[in-house]
Amino acid sequence: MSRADAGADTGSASGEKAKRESFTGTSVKRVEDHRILTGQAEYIHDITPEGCLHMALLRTTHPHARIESVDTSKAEDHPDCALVLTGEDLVEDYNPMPCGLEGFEEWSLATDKVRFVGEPVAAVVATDRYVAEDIVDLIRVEYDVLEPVVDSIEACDDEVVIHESVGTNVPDGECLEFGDPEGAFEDAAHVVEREYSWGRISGVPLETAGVVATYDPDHDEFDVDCNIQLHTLVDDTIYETLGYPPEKVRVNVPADIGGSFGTKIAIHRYCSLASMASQHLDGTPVKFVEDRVENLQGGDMHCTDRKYRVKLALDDDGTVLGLDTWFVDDFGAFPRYPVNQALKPLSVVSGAYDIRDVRYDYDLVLTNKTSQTAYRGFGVPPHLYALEMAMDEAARELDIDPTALRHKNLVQPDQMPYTIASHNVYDSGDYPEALDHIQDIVDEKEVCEGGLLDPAVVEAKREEGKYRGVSYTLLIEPGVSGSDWTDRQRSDREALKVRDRDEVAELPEHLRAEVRDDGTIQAWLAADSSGQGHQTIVAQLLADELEILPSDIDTGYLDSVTAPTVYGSAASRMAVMLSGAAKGLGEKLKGNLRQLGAQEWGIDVDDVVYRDGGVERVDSGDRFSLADLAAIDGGINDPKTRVSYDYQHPVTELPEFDEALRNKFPVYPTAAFAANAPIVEVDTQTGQVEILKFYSLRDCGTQLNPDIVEGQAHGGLAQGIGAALLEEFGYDESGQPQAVTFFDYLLPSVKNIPPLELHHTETPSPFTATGAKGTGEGGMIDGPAAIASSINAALEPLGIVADEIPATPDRLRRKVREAQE
Amino acid sequence: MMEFNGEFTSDHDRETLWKYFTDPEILASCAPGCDHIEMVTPSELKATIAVGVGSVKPTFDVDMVVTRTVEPELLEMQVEGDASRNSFDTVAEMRLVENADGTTTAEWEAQANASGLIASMGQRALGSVAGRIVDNFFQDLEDKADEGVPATSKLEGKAGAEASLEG
Repeated sequence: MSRADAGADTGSASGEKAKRESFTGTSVKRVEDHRILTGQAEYIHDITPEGCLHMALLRTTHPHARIESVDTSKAEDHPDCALVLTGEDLVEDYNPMPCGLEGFEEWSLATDKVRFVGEPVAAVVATDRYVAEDIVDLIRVEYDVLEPVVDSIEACDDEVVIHESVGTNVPDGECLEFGDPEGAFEDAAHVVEREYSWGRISGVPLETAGVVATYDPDHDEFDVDCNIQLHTLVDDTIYETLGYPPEKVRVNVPADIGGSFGTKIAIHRYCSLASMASQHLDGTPVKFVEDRVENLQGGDMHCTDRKYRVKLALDDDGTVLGLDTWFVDDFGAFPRYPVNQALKPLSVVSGAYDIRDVRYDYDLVLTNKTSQTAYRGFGVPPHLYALEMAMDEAARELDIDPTALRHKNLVQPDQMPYTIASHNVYDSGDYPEALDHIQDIVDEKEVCEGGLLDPAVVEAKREEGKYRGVSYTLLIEPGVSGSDWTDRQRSDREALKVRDRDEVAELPEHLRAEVRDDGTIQAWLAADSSGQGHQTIVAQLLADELEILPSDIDTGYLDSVTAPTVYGSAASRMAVMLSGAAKGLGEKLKGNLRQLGAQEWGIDVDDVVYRDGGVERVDSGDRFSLADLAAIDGGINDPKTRVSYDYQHPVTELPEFDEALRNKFPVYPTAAFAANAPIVEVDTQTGQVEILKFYSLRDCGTQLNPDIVEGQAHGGLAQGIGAALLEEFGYDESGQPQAVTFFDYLLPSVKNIPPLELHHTETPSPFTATGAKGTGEGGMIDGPAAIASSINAALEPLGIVADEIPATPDRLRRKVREAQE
Repeated sequence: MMEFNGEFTSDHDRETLWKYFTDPEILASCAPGCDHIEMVTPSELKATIAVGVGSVKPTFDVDMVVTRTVEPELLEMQVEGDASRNSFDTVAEMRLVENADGTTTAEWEAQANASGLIASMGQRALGSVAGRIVDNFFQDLEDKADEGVPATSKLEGKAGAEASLEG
């Protein structure tokens, strides 16, 4: 790669500003793509050690049943069967899996009861996967079938309790008040109270969960190759389940993962089972890869499934005085470790609006469904959706233009950094300007003759029953989660009220590198990736620091034993943390190399400068290249050419976050944002929504690599469109999952993705080393609320609100029918 | 729980039909996808039956218990099936009603709990599949009766048995 290539203008809004003298900020081609596009990337499925055996799981078809007996004798008699494990076998030798709330005991294979369709009951290991599945069919399980609990509201009555030892289906909940919500609602001229529901939507990565585990009987330790997400943070879910210390369980994640979006954080069941099986087989490697039905039905990867009640208190002029949200989150059968997504919305509790008096109330509810794990946005998308729906309904009730109502309540640029009611801080941005800007663009291009919103066309289409509309929404993507707050629900909440700031510890981002003999750099990342382009970002940033080419930098990944515990790729975190770490690492290495040169020359370090991939004597201009420095440094105890660096989480040095940190309220120090204007057309005869064009103005602070930013937005918006219109893991009233294949779980395809017109602005974050803000979850965070709001705008003449997500044709058609009666 | 029902008119009288409906060998040869039926006792049968529902084609190990017989007018069975990733539990009842013209109408109804992949198809898809299977079954049985294939009534209700989808 030459610098000329790297600086090529991509045609994006920031392209004009691209600094040709640096790689950072330009669309350097992703170093990952060559191997991915040429089929050289190695995924878990490609890893099959010699002699490897294969595991298959017996999964129950019952949502709720007591296990009376498991007869494995016929399976064990099969000539190709190497091993059969049942829950009973696990109880003897291992531990239950860590759970997200106290008081639960979940085993990798069900022991006493099954609690969701797809829950594994037995594992079979055989010579290949096909045989293993045949042997699974030979196992006989006798069940005492129990009444299931399917509806989350009914589950609250505890008529049927899923976990007898817990005694209730509502294991947790909290009502948090900020400011004086009661006073705000008492004084308000108007109170708007509405209900919304968000379906069971989740990420569906191209590559399902997979693991190859090998036990080493000589050293009594495990090697676990798997595609888990956050492998240094959640490796405890594997080693604790196995009952081993962390250094005995080496978790290794390949450089290339076929997507995760949060869903692979919770694949420890498979990692543990394959490890146990290998241990039972004296170290024979055991492999397991989920098939698609397993993934969709019982892959522990469903996400938020919420019913909301939202109340807004308003003045006559549309000023929002108070916000009160309550939701029930249908968790499925178990609360997933390490953390659930009930609290993250606190980091954007009032959206882009200046609302000081807020109540945030929720109940976590267990039902006989697959458990929830993380998915892009981690609970924020439904919150912003519910809030924006309420804003639309308030505008209707007060007879104010919805855009005017939003404008009136936006946080103003002179309030930045803005501390929200729940103590998180928005770092920077001009929200009113962004909203005006996108509206101007749409006005100019579409609300005119020949445009999609040409008033004459809108009128004519309406005659045909096709309703067009657009809404302008400003939505925030909270980035770079702190880690300390994430165990709030397992903490003594009374004790938090008197907690000292010094007790708060955050996880830094770790990066290390060494200069190789040929003068090139080998860097290692501690956090695993699932497609974000981390290797590219590190190469770009380090190349700029060291004044070399990105192609002179190789990047690899550390396993869980070698790496310190870092948070990992989640919560729109890595742009900020990894770029900060790369910058810091480069500075540290340069300092080291100057010292090394100074030592070799016998002069003061101040008389040595780092320049252009080497060090120079100021006095003579003599120079050591990186290769020279590697040769000089070779073999000593304190190598100067080998460095590691830990970039501290931004909140650790910022007093603005003290209050949130002390109380374990979510801290997300960057606020990327999007001003959206999707133009939709609803066919009232079919209920079908078509997005004709999606306009969006996006700002994630300093763009490290505009192509990657654009790609994140494209993928995120595609998922946002799927969530808004198509995707849902439905269950019937008897607890049977309705979407276990792609016939029923509808993913967005080219047919559903409209032309995207994305504009980018850059408001650097004052809180981060590079000015970058996280942008890994945008699109999925801001897409659904924006699309639903545009549906509201389109259907305003019929008085319809998209109060259920996904807004599927049957749901919208039903509303149209009711509206026309 | 799903509910299915239907009816089929036969040219034969119900005494004749009864023999066909209660002869396991006839049942095995008429039931679509049925590999074999084994009579454990006059009230208990085991069978292997493959059922195609859309893209899913599980092969069920089926246990049938004849819970009630009123010769020649009523046959009631409880049927449980297990297959890879699927299971079902059904109570089925058939009444043979004499018509004035000498024909017989078989009225049948079934309540079923389906679990696993077939359940994800929903009642509408399963209902049409069930209807097709039952129609084919009745038609094949009618053909056997037309041909005069010998049949012997062998099934009888299990003493004290009660059909139920509970537990």
